[in-house]
Amino acid sequence: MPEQRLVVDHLTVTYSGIFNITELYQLVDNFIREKGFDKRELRNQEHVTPEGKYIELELQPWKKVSDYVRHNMRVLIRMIKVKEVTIDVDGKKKKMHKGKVYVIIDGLMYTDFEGRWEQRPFYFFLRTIFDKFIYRTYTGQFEDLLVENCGQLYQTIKGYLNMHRYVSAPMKRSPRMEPGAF
Amino acid sequence: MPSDETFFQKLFSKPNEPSSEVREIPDYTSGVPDVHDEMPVGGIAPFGIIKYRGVFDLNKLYKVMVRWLKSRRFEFHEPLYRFKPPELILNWRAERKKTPFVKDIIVVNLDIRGYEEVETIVGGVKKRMVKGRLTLNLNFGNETGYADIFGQKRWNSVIERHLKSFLHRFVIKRDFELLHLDALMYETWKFHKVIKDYLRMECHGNLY
Repeated sequence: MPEQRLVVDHLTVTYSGIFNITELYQLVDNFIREKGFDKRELRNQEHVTPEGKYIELELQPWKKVSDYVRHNMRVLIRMIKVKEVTIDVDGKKKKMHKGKVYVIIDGLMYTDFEGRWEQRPFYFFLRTIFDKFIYRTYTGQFEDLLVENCGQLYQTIKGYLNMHRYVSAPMKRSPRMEPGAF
Repeated sequence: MPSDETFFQKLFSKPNEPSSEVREIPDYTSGVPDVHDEMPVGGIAPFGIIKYRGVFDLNKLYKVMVRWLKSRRFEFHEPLYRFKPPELILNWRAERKKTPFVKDIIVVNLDIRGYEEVETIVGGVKKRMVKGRLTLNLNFGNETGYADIFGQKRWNSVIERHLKSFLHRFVIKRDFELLHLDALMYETWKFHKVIKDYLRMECHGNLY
């Protein structure tokens, strides 16, 4: 069994409003690929109900940072009461969705994921000493890398959802923006 | 009473080998692997679950999945088909002999609960579709040293099994993961994408 450490615990994004499910999914997919993670889609659940769709998505992208350390991200996305809406964007009709989104991001770091240092009690003891005292700086750097990746994913999702927060509301023009103001 | 076999005879002896004195009548089976067969050496790794609740065309979904597997030279086996309304359970095992030593395996478990046939109008045409809760479980893996066409497994004796284990753990581990396991994983991703696209799920598409 590899040694597991919870580095990022429950980074949550909550949003209620207009968004596009396919774009959000592709955004996360793109991010995972850009950062060099291997995709692992544990569960993709879609229920069609009279109140709207219920979608649950559980992703666990992973990456072998070295032959001793592996990074795992747990991304849980829940979309509740999702309905299709059509909005006007710059005169063009665009298909979007309206509902509630909950995104929870966790970051886990596994050391000795191949189990080479736990075959005997002495090896296990040596591994623990190394991890806690001798290899501390390197372990800290690996943790910082994972925190950075999780934080960037959090900011990306939050930024995308905030972008659509005021899509349906008409833009209020200030007097200076009227033509012929200057 | 001590046995007559020496130490070296025991090492190279194959288990369950019939003695030369008594010859059994050979039992010819269809060769379809049992769903409860032992796990292959490479292991079958869980891949992902697709859950869909709504109305879908089961007949076409079945055809799309089977055709995809067959077009990629997989041998399609259906060890289990259990239909007891409102429950339908299908177990599929698709095998492809990649090299004389390595075989690709994709295992699909399809489970429909609350099975109900409904008539819907799609594009002005009446169609018979299925309403229910679909759970699709995909698994993939590689088997090494697979049985020949007569069903006789190789690498059976104690020393052969130890050699094979040593080969897997130390000699060909990285090459095996890179050439066979990873390639099969990406191919299973494509299969996963085809299923999601057909069911018209919102979270469809796959950059991998």
